[in-house]
Amino acid sequence: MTMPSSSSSSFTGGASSNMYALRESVSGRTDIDILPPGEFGEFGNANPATDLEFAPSAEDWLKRAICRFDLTFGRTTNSVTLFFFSDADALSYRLRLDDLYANIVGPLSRDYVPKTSADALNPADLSRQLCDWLGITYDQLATMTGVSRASFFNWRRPGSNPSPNSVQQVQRLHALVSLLVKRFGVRGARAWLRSGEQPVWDRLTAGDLDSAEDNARQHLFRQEVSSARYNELPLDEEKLDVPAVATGSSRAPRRAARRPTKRRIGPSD
Amino acid sequence: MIDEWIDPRAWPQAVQDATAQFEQGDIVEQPPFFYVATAEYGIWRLTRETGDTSLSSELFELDPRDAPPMGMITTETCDLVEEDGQPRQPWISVAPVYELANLDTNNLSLLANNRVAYMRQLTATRFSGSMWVADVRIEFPIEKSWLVGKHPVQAFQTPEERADLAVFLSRRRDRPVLAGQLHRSLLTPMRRWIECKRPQQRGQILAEVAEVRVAISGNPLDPDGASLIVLGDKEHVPEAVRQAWDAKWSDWQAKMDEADMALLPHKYATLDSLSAREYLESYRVPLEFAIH
Repeated sequence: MTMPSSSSSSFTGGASSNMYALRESVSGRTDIDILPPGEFGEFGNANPATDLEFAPSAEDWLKRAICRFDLTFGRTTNSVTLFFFSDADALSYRLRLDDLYANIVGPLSRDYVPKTSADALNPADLSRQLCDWLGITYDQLATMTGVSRASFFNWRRPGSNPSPNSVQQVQRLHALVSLLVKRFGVRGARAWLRSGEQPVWDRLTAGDLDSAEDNARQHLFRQEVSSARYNELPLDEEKLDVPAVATGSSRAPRRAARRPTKRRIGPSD
Repeated sequence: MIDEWIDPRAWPQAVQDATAQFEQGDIVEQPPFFYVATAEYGIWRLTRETGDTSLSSELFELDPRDAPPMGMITTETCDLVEEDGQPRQPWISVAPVYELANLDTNNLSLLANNRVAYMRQLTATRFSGSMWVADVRIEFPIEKSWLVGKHPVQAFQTPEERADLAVFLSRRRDRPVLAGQLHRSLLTPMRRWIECKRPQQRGQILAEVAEVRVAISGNPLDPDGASLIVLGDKEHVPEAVRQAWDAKWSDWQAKMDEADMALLPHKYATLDSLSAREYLESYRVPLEFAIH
């Protein structure tokens, strides 16, 4: 069975419903929303703001989303059953995922546009972008960064001279959120921040940026550890059991006809 | 083919007795210096000036009068001695050892602090009069039979220095492949920042730093973010060191941002406090450099 493409209009059921089902069947946990209801629009909906519109197909996007999500939480899933709802039918669909984990490359999101050095953002721009990405007010940004609300507005004035400490706080939060946006897209970043029993969002709104960064490191900076497990290792160093010197029939070794010449560099220096 | 030509019954006792005297890091006198090259595209002066450009492959051996007077055995001791069972490894690797003169204080400092990527200073008493180094840019394959009649010379003063050599040699071949952009935007600027410091300043920014590692978000070949981990040994690095590293974060973060990667602030930990998982999932940043 082939999944409908993202431009198909035959499935008008919400992606949020699908994702809710995904949450149930993948994790079996109710404390993690892969993509919370209402965040991702609908299949078949031509809303260009949804990340799904950027994917070549819903199937491809979903597979990659699941794998990226799994890797983020340091686990793998071999297969998962998805439930899709249309006006008339409810379909289930099983995705095989085990061949995908090794090939998860490239960002899922196109919300993050690569910049050049000419595009380097000043503190006022960084603040504005943070408010846009997180959907927050400057008051909330002030709480998250410990920078006064007035500072954000002062920074917009020509010739303003922001304090280095304040700028660094904004840069830190911007680095964290930009990482999430690159990985998940704006909506996904917001969802990620609010997921789990102790959402990172709560730490941010409490002004605990250190803790939010630690959490991001813990979940996003995961790598495959290549060391073999003990039960996969030989008990001792092993050598190939190749028969030692062949007797009788073996052709005698031959030296190359050429001989190295011991050389000296001429007395040019 | 190689195994077929090894006859364990004909492995001379003299060879086994000789190898039993040696360990990794020991010095041997008058090793041969040889390599294969193509003179038409020669790199080293010997190749360029003495090679035959009509040959596509040529074996060069440096005249012993010009060759380094000593060599260091780089083969791991177990593979050298092969005490257990049937010997299967006829060859060892030897790196040239020679004396370096006219070094400036910066290069002397780099060598003394084991911060040269391809050299190690010899510290044993007999080498103390001047700067003797083992240079692992080239290693020569030598059959163990060559060790018969030779005697090991100690290269280092302490067992710890010998152990450090083993780590140095293993790391030469244990370098993960990371994205070029990560090198250009973070790792190289960081290394240049340290390398360009005067010895005293370099000592200040690396004071009590046991290791610097980089944690990567996403595919190491196409990461979406990174963070440096500055590790102290038993104690966190001093506040002054932390301030120096933190002061560079904005610069590196801007470079990373231009390359479409995020750089989270540095993490400071100790070898006791960093989890084994965090250690294994991050990558050591080599802080060894070339000498000029």
